Amino acid sequence: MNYRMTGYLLGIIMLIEAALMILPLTVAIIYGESIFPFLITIAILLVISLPLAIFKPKNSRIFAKEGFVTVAAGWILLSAFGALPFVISEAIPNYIDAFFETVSGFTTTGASILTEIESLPKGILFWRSLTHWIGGMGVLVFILAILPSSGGQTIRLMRAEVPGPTKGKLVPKMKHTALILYGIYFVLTIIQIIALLLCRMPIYDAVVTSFATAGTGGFSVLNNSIAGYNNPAAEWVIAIFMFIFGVNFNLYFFILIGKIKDVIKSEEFRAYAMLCVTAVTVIAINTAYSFERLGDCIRASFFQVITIMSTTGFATVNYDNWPELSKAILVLLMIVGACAGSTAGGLKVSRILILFKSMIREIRHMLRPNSVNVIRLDGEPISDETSHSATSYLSIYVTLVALSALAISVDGFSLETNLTATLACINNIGPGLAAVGPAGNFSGYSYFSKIVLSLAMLIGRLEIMPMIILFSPMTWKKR
Amino acid sequence: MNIVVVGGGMVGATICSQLTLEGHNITLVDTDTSTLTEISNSYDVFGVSGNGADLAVLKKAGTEKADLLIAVTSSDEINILCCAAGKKLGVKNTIARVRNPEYTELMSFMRSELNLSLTINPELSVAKEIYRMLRFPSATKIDTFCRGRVEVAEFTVSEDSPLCGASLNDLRTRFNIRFLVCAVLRGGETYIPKGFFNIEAGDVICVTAPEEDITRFFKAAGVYKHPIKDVLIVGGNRITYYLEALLQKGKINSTVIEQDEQLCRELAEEYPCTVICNDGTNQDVLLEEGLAKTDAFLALSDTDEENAIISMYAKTQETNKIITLISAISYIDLFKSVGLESIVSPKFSTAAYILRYVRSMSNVRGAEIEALHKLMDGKVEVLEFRIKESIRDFTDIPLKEMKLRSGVLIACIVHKDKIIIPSGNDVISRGDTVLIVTTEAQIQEIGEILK
Repeated sequence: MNYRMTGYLLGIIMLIEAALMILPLTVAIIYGESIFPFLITIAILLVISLPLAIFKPKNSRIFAKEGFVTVAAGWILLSAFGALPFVISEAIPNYIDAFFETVSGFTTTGASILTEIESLPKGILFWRSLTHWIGGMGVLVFILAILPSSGGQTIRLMRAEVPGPTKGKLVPKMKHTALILYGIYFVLTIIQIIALLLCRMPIYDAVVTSFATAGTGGFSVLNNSIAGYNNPAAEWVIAIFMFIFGVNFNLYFFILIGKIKDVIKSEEFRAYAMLCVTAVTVIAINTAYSFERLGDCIRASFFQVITIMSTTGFATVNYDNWPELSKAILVLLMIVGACAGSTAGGLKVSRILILFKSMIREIRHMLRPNSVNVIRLDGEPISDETSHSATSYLSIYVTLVALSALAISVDGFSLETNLTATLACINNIGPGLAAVGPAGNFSGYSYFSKIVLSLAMLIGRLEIMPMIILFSPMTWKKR
Repeated sequence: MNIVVVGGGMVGATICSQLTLEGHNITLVDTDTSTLTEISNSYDVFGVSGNGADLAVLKKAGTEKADLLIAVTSSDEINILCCAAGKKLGVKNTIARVRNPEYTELMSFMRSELNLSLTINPELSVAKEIYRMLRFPSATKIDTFCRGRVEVAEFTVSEDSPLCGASLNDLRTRFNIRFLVCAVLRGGETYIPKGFFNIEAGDVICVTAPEEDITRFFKAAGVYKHPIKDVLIVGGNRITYYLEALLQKGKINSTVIEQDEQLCRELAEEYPCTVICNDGTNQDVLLEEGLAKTDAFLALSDTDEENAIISMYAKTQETNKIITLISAISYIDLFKSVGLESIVSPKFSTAAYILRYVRSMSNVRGAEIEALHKLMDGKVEVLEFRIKESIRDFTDIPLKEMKLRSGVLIACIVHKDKIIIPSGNDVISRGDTVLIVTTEAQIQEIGEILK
C-alpha cells in the first residue's frame, strides 16, 4: 500500500473541493449573504490538504488496491467536508443530516432530509446543487483532466470511478479522455441552461436545475421540485436533457468525430430508448384517467419515467398516487437505471443486456449441453470475464439491497417505504414510494438509518467495489 | 505525435513505456486482450484488440491519422504486411521489426517497394553493439558519434586507477590528451562534473574523446586492455549468427558452444569458426574450451539466468572481458551490482533505436538529431545535433556566456572537420555538429538545453 501517494491524491481532492467552494462563495457575495460558512470550510480544507498535496511523492506507483482506496476514501472525505457549510450556516444544524444531504448531492442521488428549502440562503443551495454537477462526472476524472499526466497507472483511478461494466479510454491519453468527457459534460450543461432561460426560468434557477439534471441528481430549490415552476416548456426541456445525460458519453464523442454509425449500432442506446418509449406508453395509458389533456398525460408520463430511469429524481406529479402497475414499472426502472458511461446510477442498461443474454445462453446450454454459445454486445463477442463480473455484480447488489433494507427497518416504516428508500439510495435516484415518495422525504429516518443510507448511496455511485475494498480487512493487511 | 504500436511483447511494452514518458499518444494493437489490459494498466496507452495486419483493426486504431506505425510482433511477415497496410491507409512513417537473417537482403526492396521508413533488427543491432565493445575492451560500453570520429566510453574506476582521488583539472594538465569527463554515476545518482570534481574508486564515468585519442586515454587511466584476438561464445542463436559475420570481418577468432545440433550446423556451414556442440553451462566444458585464457567471454544464450550465472563463473576465472546478454531489463541493476559490467539487451537497444527515430522525427527547428545513445542504464543521454541554421543565444557566442540548463553539458564540437573538446571560449557556429550530454531532461530540440 503506497500510503504517501494515496495521501497526496486525497490532498489534491480536498484542494479541488476548496477551489470549487469559491463558486458558491461568489454566489453568496452576489446575493449579499454570509460568506463565513464557505470561508471557514475552505480554511479547514487548506490546512489539511496543503501538507499532503504540496510535495509529490517520489514513488508514485499505484496499483489496483490504491486506486480503489483513493476513490472510496476521496468520496467520503469530499462529503465529510462538503457538509460543513450546511452545519456552519445552520441551514442543516445537525452534522449527520448535513452529511446525508451532501452524500446525496455528490452521489447525484437527490434524496433530501430538508422539508423547507425555499427559505435557505441562495449560496448554500447553490453548493447543494453544485455537488451534483461535480459528482456526476466524478472528481478524480476532473483531477485527471487538469493534472499534468503522470504515468499510466492513473487509469486505475478512472476505472474505479466511471460507472459501467466495460470502461476504456476514448483517445490514447488519459488526460485527453478526461478533458473530452468534461468538455462534453460542460457544453451540454451550458446548452441546457440556455434552453431553460429561453423557457423564461430565472437565471439562478436555470443554473442550479441544470447542475442537478446534468449530474442526474435531482435536488431542486423549490419545495415542490420542478412542479413548483408550473412551466410545461421547462418540463419538456428538463425531461429531454435527463434523457440526454442518461446516454453513454462515448456516443457523443463518436458523434463529434463523425462516427454516427457507431451510435446507431450501439445496442445499449437502442435498448435504453426502447425501454423508455415502452414504459412511457404503458404508463400513459394506465394513468390517462387522471389527466384532462393528452399532452399533459404524455408529458407527465415521460417526465416521471425518465426522471427514474436516468436516476435523477425530479418530480412534476406525485406518482405515489398512481395505479399499482405504473408504480411497479417505475420500481423496475429504478433498478435498471440508464446507460453505462453516463452520469446516471442503477445497474446500467448494458449490464442488464449482458445479464439477459447470459440467461438465454444458460437456457440454450441446458437444451444442448455441448453447444458453444458466445454473448455479443454491439455485434462483438464479450469475454466470459465481463459476463461473470455482471452476474457477480448483480448478486452483491441484491445482497446489499437486502441488508440495507433490513437495517433501516428498525425505524418502523412500511416495507414499501424501506425497500424503495434503499433502492432510491443505492441507485442514486432520490425519491422512492410511500413515505419517501416525491411528496415526502428522508427526514423521518433515525441517524443510524441515515448513515446506512449514506453508505448505500456511496456504494451505488462507485459501483460497490471501491467502498467494499476500503472497508475490507484484506486491504489493510501487510501483504 | 500519434503513434500506433502493433505487438505488445517485451519490445512493444518497452517502446510504450518510453514513448508515453516523452508525451506521445500511443495506441497499442495486440491480439491478446489480457496483454492489452496489462500494458494499459501500467502505461497511458489506448488498447485495440485484433490482428495488426487487418485493415479494419488498423483503422480502428486510428492509423489513418497516425504519424508513425511501429510493427514489433513476433512475426516478421505480419510486421511487414502491417506496415504495407498502414502505408496504404496513409500513415507517414512505418517501422517494422524484421529479424530473420534470410530477409536481410530484402531490406532495400522493402524500403523502396513497400515504403518502409525503417526496419529494425534487434539481434543485429545487439551484435553490432557487442562488436563495438570488443573493439574497445577497456570500456564497459562505448558509443560512436560524428560518423565514427568521436567516442563516448563508459567505465568503472577501480581502486588502483591513477584517476582515483584526482580532480578533473589535475587530470587535464597531467594527461595532455583531448578528453572530457562528461558524466559520473556515484551511489545511484548521476552528476555532470565540474573542474574541481574529485574522482573516487567505484565511480562509473563517461568520457568523450576523439577516436584517435581514446586509446591513449585508456592507457593513461590504467584501464587499457589489449585488443581482443579471440572470444569464447556460449549460445548459437541469431545474435551469434550476426556477430560471427562481424568477427570474421574483424579477424577475431571465435569458439561457439551451443547445445542444439541444428544451430551448430547452421553456424558451421556459414562461418569458419570453431563450433562445439555441448552444454555451455557445464564448467568443465567452459574450462576445456579455454575460459581462463580467452580474451573475451560472451554469454549469449537464450536464458538470462544461465547467462548471468556463467558470466559470474567466468568472473571467478578472471576472464579479461565478459559480456552478458540480459533480456529482462528490470534486473539489469541487480546484475551490475554483482560485478557484471558489460550487459547488452536487445530490447533496450531496439527501444533506444526507435526512440532516436521518433525524436528526430518530431524535431526540425534549427537542428537535427543525428544520433542518440543512452548510457549508464538510460540515466544519461548523449545526443548528436547538426546545427543547420543560426540559433539565438546559442550559436556564435562563447560557451561561458551561454545560459545552459542544469544537468546539460556540451561535450564536443565538430567544426569543419576539427574536433574540439570545448572550453569556455569556444564558439558554436552554423554547420557544426555538437554532442550534448544530459542527465535529467529529455531534450527534444536544441533550444531546450538553454535556460
